[in-house]
Order: sequence, then structure tokens, then C-alpha cells
Amino acid sequence: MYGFKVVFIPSNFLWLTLGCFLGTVIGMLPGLGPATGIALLLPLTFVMKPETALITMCAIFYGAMFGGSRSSILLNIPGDGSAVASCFDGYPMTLKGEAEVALAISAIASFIGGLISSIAFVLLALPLAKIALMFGPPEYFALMVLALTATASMSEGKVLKGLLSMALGLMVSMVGLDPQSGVSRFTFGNLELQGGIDFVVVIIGIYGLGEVFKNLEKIGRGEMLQPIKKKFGKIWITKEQWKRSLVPMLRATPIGFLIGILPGAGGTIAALMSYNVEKRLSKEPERFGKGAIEGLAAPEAANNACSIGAILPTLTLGIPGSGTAAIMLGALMIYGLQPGPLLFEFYPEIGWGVVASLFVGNFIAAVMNLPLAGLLVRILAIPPKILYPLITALCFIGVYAINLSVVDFYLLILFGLLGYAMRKFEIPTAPMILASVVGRKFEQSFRQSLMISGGDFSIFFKSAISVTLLILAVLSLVYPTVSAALKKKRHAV
Amino acid sequence: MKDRYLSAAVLGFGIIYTIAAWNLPRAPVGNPLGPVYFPLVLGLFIALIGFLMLLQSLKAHHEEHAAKSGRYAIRILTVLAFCVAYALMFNRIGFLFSSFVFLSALLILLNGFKKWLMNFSISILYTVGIWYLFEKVFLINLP
Repeated sequence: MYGFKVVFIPSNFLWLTLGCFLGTVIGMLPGLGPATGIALLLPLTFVMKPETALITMCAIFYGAMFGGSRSSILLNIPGDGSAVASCFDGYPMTLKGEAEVALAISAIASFIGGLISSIAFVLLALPLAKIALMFGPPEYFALMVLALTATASMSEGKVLKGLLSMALGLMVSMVGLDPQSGVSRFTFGNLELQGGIDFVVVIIGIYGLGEVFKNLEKIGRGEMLQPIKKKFGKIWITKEQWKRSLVPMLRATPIGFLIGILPGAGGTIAALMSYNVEKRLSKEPERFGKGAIEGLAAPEAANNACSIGAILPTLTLGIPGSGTAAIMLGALMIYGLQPGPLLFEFYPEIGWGVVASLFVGNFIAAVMNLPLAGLLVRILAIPPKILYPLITALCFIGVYAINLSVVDFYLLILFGLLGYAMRKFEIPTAPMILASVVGRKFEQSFRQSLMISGGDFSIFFKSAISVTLLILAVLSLVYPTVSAALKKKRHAV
Repeated sequence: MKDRYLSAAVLGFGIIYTIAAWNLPRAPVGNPLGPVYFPLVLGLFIALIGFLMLLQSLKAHHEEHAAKSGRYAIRILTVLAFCVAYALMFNRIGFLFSSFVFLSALLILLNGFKKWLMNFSISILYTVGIWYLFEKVFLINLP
């Protein structure tokens, strides 16, 4: 209840609404997802109080989740990965002339998924924080190993490339003064690099500028020029459609929430998995892919549930569950806050404020998306050739606002190029972002553990928690390889 | 083929990184190798990934669909040059002017010179808008 008081402070409430709006807009734009959105708008939050900043970021996050499906449904272009599954049945619905129904059900399903997961969040936050209090450096090290390997192996099914991306992120975090010994590493004699590379620069470079470079290719091809439906009837659904989608939504929510909590697997997997579950359980699976309303409701509920699930370990353990959550974690650290088990105790206004903002923000985003959907989609009509220059300029200004240093400009360009190359070579970007945010803590927890034990590596295998986490980490690496091998065998037979 | 080049580059990079890590300064206090271990292992790890990727790409022989990216490469390089020029200009001639030039240049490149009026008005509005937001609302000083 305390949290609601925080949320309803006028300035917080205003930013929450604004964040939802900006998030929805950014989510709708093809290629820009929640991670890019938060990264680009991060500089805006520097002047706010920490709780306001975090509430705004959360608002952008689920605003983007709501918005991401708009372009999937209307244009068959997913705003980001987690909206891919919404294309399968959402776009066919538009083709059938049911765009209004599709928009309505996607907002309703997102709302319901979000609402139920927010309740689960409240119930789980404190118990999880209590468990986390038992964690020492070895356990944290094991937990980070798990988070990193799971993200690397699950991101896009290419384990090696995922690990490569993770290694790149860790490398970024090595640059600068070593906090334990004061030795400067990989600074190439540059004083400005001694403080380390700000991960915000990495994120804006990889997600923002990298995405722009990638899209420069598309502009000339005219791929993005599609007529958009601009006039809408009443955006609502009938009772019969509601009945059809209720159970799928309720089934998809726990799937999404659990996947969100797990490190690594993100909204894309949650949405696809719940889509497949519905298809398998359906009495008429042949309707799927041809505009079945359940096929849209399920992934929509799942991806919102997932985004809230991902915030849970971020706040209670200090280990982000996804790339987007990693950005939020990093932002918390900019404010000098240590997310983790003690957050709720020492800074209740932040912990509970965020929780309350999940409820209120969900409501605002749903309200915004129902009657205003018709208006909002007009933003999709901004031609990309004007949009991308504006985004490019925003990337630079955002980066400048962090350190007021032009050195960051060159880093930004460098990471922009890297992000472009990674997209070209199909290297997933999420592991790198995650690694660059937790990298320093990762190394420190490793060395602290060894200091405690006096250099004895067996400290990592002494507690049941760390052993379990390490075993899970190994499994997460081995599983995709084994399952791919098994599949091959089955095909061969 | 693309993957083969990539994995060779990764392998080479891992080796270079390992050597660089080994040459890092030793810690003056505590374990002298303390700050070296982690990057060292990281370098070896990268080299290992590169090696495994190389093995994988040698095993896989799939058809190449050569993508024609020459035209886009020029465009990307141009944008890149603009970005570097912007970074160089930024502190010398100030935020307002350099951002205006940068944005106009990008818009002319992508939107075409014919719509110059539109390009310039967008650039001016956007630049001034952001300047106002930062300087007056957020109180962040721009050069």
C-alpha cells in the first residue's frame, strides 16, 4: 500500500503516464524494442529522483511491450523479438478485416497477463529477497555464471555465438582501473578510459546506433513502405471472442512469468512457447496462423507476464533476467543503489514504488492502447528516412548527457559499428549487454571468494546453493547441443 | 564462408587478447597476478570459442547466398563519416550548430535534397527543442 502512495505523487504519476506513452510509441516503431527505448530515454531520467526514474523506466518497458504488437498486427513487422509470435495470428486477423478485434485483444491480454504477474511479483518478492540474504560472494559468482551462460545459450540457439557475445561484454567491463589493486587495464594510456566504459554507451551503441546502421540497408529497398490502415471502427471484442481467449490468456500468464524470472530466456521464448502450447491444446489447431484469436491472446499475455517476471530477480537478487532488465539494473547502479535483497528494506519507496507502478502502469498502458490505438498507429506513418536521422542524433545527445564527454562519442560510434557487425553475423546482442552490466561484479565476486578461501577453488563447491547453480549453468550449456544432436538423429532415422 | 572468416578473426583476437592480458601490469599490493587472472582466462576462452567455431564452419558446407551490400556499404560509411565529423565538431563549434549540420546532412543523404525545406525545418526544430529541454529543463550544459 505504501508503494501506491509513492506512485500517486503527482510528478511520479505524470512520468509514469508519459513513460507508458513514449514506450508505446517506441515499441511500435519497427526494430526499436523496449531495450533500445529505455537506453535512449535513460539520459532523461538522470535528473529525476531514483524512484521516479525507475518508475519511468518500468513504464517505458511495458509501454513498449504493449506497443510492440501494434506493428506486428497491422504490418506484419514485429517491433521486437517478443512480438514475433503476435504476427502469426495477428496479421491474418487484420487481413480478414478484424484489425479492431486484434488490437483490442492484444491490449486486453497484455493487461491481464501483466495484472496477474504483478500479483505474483508481490507474493514472491520478499521470500526471494530472504533467500538472497544467504548469498555470499561464491553464491553470487555461481548465480552470475548461471545468468550469463543461460542467456548465452538460449538467446538464439547458437551457443558459441552467444558465448562470444558474452565474452565481448565481459571484455568491455575489464577496461578501466581495477577496483581491487588500482592497476589500470586496457586503457591504452587514455585517462578518460580509467573510469571504465559506461555500459549506457555500450547499450545505446549496440541497440540504438547499431539498429540504425542495419536499417540504412532497408531504406533503399522500400521494404518498409506498406499502406497502413488508418481508420478504425470501435476497438473492442465480443463476448464470444472473450470466452475463447480467456483460458489461453490464463494459461499463458504463468508460462510467461516463470520464463521471465529465469535468467536468459526472454519475451521471445515466452511468447513462442505459449503460442505452441495453445496450438497443441486447441481442438482446431488448423485455425492457428489464419487469424485465431487465441493465437494472439496467448503470446500477448505471455510476453507481458514475462517482462514483469524479469524485473523480479533484478530487484531482489541484483541479477537481471533479460537484456532490458540489465539496463534497468545498470541505471539503478548509476544512482548509487545496490539492487539486491536489502533494497526493499533500505529503500522501500523504490522497491514498493516499482511494484505499485506495475499495477498502475499496466492499467494506464491498457487504457491508452484501447481508445487511442487508432491515433497512435499514425506514428507508424513517419517515413523511416526521416525517423532514423532523428534517432541517430538522439543517440549522440543521450550519450553526451551521461558523462559530458566527447570521448564517449567515439566509443558510441565504435559500439554502433560492432552492433551492426553483430547483426550481420547473427551474433545475439543480449548476452553482451548483460555481461557488460554485471561484468565488474562478476569478477569481483570471483576474486572476493578466493580471498575468503585464501586461493582455494573448492569454496565454490562448498555450499549447496552454489553447487546447484553451477550445475544448472553447465546444463544450460550442454542442453542445446545435446537436444540438437538428438533431433538430428531422429531426422536421420 | 562468412562464418569461417569470422571464426578465424575471433581465434586471432582471442590470442592477441590473451597476450595483452599477460602483459598487464602486476598488482603492487596483494597477489601480484590478481588483476591478470580474469582477463587471461577470458582471452583463452575467446580463443577457444574461435577454435570451436572454426571447426564447426569447416564441417558445415552450406550454399552461400551472396548478399549485395555494396551500395549500402557506401551509405553506411557516409553516415559513419558524418558521425565522426560530428564528434570532431561538437566541442569546437557548439551543440546547436554542429547538431543542426549533422542532422541536415543525414536527412539530405536519406531523404533527398529535393525536400530541403522540410529537412532544414525538421533539423532546426529538433535541435532547438533538445537544446531547450537539456539547458532549461534538465539544467545540463551543452557546449
